[in-house]
Amino acid sequence: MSHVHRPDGRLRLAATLLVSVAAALTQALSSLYAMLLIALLAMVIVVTADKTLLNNIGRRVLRVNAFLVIVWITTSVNWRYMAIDEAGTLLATQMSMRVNIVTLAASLLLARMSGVELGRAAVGLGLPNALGALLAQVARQVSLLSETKTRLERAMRARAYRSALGFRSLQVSAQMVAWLIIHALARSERISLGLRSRGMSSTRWPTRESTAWRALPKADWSTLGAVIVIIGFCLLLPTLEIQK
Amino acid sequence: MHIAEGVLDTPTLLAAAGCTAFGLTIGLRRLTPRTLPTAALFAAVFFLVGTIHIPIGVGSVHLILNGLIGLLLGWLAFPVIFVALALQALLFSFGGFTSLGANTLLTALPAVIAGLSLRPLLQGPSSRPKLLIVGAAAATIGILGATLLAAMMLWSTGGTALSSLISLFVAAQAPIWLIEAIVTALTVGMLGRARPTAFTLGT
Repeated sequence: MSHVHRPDGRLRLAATLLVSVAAALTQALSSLYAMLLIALLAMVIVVTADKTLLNNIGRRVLRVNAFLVIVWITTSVNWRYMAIDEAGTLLATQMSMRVNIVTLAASLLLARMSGVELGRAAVGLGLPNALGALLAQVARQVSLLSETKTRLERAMRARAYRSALGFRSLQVSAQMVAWLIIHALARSERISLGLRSRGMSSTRWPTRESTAWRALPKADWSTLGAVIVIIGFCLLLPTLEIQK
Repeated sequence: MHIAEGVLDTPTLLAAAGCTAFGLTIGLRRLTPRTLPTAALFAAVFFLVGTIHIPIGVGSVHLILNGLIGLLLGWLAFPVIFVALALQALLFSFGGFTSLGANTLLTALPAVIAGLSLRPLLQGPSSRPKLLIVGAAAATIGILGATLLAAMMLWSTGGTALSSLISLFVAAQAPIWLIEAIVTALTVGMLGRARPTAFTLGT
């Protein structure tokens, strides 16, 4: 269990979105290189402090880079003439850096954030209350329904079922989906009945107020401040190079 | 079907986010505190079916079932798919937050089209062949629509530089479409017999 203080969810989400938008907007390779270098440095620092994050971040980075291999194979080479495509190579380079910057930033800034916290943070940043309430409810229902799915899979394995490409497997998958939907419908009826029997009004969105912006500790604001300064520096790099 | 963060350019991301905001506005009008638990449970089901893998050769494909979501939820597919994709971005880094608008649009718009065009056929008693045909048609609209939208977004970002990637992407969707058509048809067949009222939410 980690006892490290994590900044307010709204500030962490805002910082993640800022990095994503900055990476999407800039075309300059020097800015993207600088952002990637700083993201890698931050990853080393965070992972050194909390080694349990290494597995999670490593898996995410590997997954996105597997996709980038396909991007490089299809865009950087002109297969008809067996030659390097310069425009394609530039595009693949920019994409590779953007994808890695954003994946690292999201993995580090949103580390250990739950679905409920994400919903509250998103509402705090202006997402409609209805969507925040839906996000929080979905996070809870996913954990409950995944238990049902695990039970179903265990029962299938006990009956010696093994997934393979064939009509039988597709039929079993369809049965599982149908069963999950029927289970979800029955569960939603029970929830509605339970809420009504406890006299709960169903005209308000079940959301919780966030801490006032002014009440947030300065240390939390410094995280967002540091991200803004770093992004500003990286975006200004191409103009500094021209002046030289 | 996710487009990774950092792949699409800013104008494409903004246009997709605008279209998604429009779809969300309509979808949220149909979401009330009373229908919230049902919508949340369907979003959880959509999230979980993404973890059901069908092996193909040395790899595997996962189910999307956006056509089925459209049949079940209509316009509510927009908020439901939006939150499911937001959770997938948070927990697994599938897609991302700036590409959330684009990924929601390419999954939810074909779902809504499938729902609006095919749901009237499921009102009242339906025979098993009819249920199977409607299910297969919903999956076809869902997958082909999502493929077309994703290809358009990639084209608007990279043009001819991404043409090989787009061709490969479109070709890879053929087995997924076939699998989705069979699974969705069978699922609609089972639901139509066990819970015919399932296709009335979000109307």
